[in-house]
Amino acid sequence: MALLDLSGVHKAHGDGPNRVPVLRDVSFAIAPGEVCAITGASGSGKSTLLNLIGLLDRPDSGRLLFEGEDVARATPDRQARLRSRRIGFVFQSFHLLPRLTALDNVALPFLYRGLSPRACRGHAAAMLQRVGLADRAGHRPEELSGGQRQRVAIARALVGRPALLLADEPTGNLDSGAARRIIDLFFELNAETGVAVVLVTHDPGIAARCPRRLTMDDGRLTADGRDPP
Amino acid sequence: MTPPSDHPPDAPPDHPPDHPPDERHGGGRLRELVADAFRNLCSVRQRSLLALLGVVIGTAAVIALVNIGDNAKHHALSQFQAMGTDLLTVRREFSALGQPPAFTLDDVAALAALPEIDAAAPLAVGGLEIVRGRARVSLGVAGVTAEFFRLTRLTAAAGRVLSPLDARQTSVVLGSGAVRQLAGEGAPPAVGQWIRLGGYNYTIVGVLEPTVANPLLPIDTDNAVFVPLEGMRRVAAGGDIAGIVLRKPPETDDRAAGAAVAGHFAAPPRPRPVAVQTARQMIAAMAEQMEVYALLLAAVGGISLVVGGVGVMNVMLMSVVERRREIGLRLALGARPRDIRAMFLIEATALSVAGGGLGALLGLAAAAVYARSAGWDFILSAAAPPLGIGMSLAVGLFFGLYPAIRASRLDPIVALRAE
Ligand SMILES: Nc1ncnc2c1ncn2[C@@H]1O[C@H](COP(=O)(O)OP(=O)(O)OP(=O)(O)O)[C@@H](O)[C@H]1O
Ligand SMILES: [Mg+2]
Repeated sequence: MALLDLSGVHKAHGDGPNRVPVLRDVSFAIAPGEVCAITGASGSGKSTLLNLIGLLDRPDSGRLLFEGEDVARATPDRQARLRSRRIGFVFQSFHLLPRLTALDNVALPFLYRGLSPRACRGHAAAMLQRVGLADRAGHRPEELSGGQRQRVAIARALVGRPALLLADEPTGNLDSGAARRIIDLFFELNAETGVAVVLVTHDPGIAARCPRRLTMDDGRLTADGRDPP
Repeated sequence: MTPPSDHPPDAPPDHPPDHPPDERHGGGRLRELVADAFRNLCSVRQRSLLALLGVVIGTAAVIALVNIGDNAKHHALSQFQAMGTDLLTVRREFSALGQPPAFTLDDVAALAALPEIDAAAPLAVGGLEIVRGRARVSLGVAGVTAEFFRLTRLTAAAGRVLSPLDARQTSVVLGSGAVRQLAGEGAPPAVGQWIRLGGYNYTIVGVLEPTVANPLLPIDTDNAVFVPLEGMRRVAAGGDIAGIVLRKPPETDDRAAGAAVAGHFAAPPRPRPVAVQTARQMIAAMAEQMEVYALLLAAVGGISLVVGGVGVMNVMLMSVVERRREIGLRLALGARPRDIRAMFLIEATALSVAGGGLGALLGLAAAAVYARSAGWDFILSAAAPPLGIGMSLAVGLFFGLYPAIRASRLDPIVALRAE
């Protein structure tokens, strides 16, 4: 069974005369453990697509199956539950809470699983160690470099062992060296935990490293390239 | 289509079980949420403090009012406790013709003979400047009979009270406050010594136990000197019987007793205007006065609480706008709208309760200062602390609800993109 299965998904933004179709008839599926890049011109609808997959938004029409469950029409609480248990997000601008230490930022997702972040610091510390920041656990985000912040964000996304990791231009704010190490980390974690990774990128070099590449153009999926296994 | 797959349990199976299962509900979770709220509040400390001020003032006012009211009640009761609530007084009322007609000892005897009255004692009052050594003090002088002490339950701490045998003597009994004043810097006057009253040497035969001034009597018994009624003319101008103190039997209704006394003065042969006052009437009047005062303070407290609540709402609304990205992130991490709502509600409540706690302390301090300056005992009212906390809790919940709902309705995508 596919981890994610979209068929005939449409999405428009805006109201009234300003309403513009952003996604048109998008269909594709992602298998568990797959790594997939989404590329395309600015404004082609990549972020909109990722938000739909991440259950932060709903399609206007079409079917969106997550692990076989039709989630396009699921209740907001059900979507929140899936987000907290099955999906991890990494953002271009990191979105770490400035008043929390790296460790507490990583432990934060447990709060929405009904667990005490404080009691789960052990998991958070292990995850920070995995991304190579064990010695920065007590630092606040402002004391970390961009690359380090994104590692903290990746640790936070993966600390709950999700099935799917979504990253919208995760290296957009990083220099090429840091960007490469972040992408390396994605591949390592994918190999270790089997988490599927969908990442939006403008960097052809990064896209080329992914075994599968989806290309968007004006709201349509125009290419679905796969490296031979 | 495929049925929804069963998702793995809360904690990933391959995670070491280093958290006890009971951490999932109840105490631990709430403690975590509250701790989170306080951390969030501390990051906007200055603005939080400003919002707090209104709640602090509001709670302080209400707590002070409750406690002062309680203390006043306690004090009022203590005023009547010593002499009891079966006391009545009659005072002369000034007639339109000018000169107030005096009471006579015949009146006293006639009143004492009424079935509604147990005992009656005449009372003449005046003021006197007394010089003793280097002390020069103004004190009230009461001209009384032996009956007065029995009736008002005033007892001697040293020596004795006046007896019928003192009627023609220059004997004086001192209130305990009067003794303190007459002592000045030196030794207090003692039984057996004499003091000079209006050109006469009066022998001190007794000193009274300390008493609380009874509002029914025209004189503060603690700060007065008591001389025989018969000799009152020698020491103070006038010296007429200004009032009659009466005691009714406990089983007699105080209105009936009052009416009987008034009846005596309304009937021939000498109808005179008088004012009869009973202890119960006085207590009721004082209670009424307290109520007006309490209402006023309650209004002040209520208004400041509303102002404080609006302040809390303002801080929370600004906080919602400023923390849109955080809200978006928390939603992405799996927070349900109700989790966001709870977060802001707890923050608003924490803010308000912190202000309420502070206000309660301030209010109690104010009540203590007030009680001290009024010469009352300060007693911590049992209702005050729970009232303070409860009120600020209610203010926080009420005024925090709207910002919390606003926060919970944010679209995560818009929130995440916010500046
Ligand atoms: N909330 C919105 N309201 C109106 N229009 C929107 C909204 N969000 C996105 N759009 C429009 O939808 C289109 C696709 O936006 P989207 O953010 O998905 O593009 P993108 O491929 O991620 O672009 P970029 O590479 O620049 O991030 C754009 O034309 C954008 O203006
Ligand atoms: Mg985008």
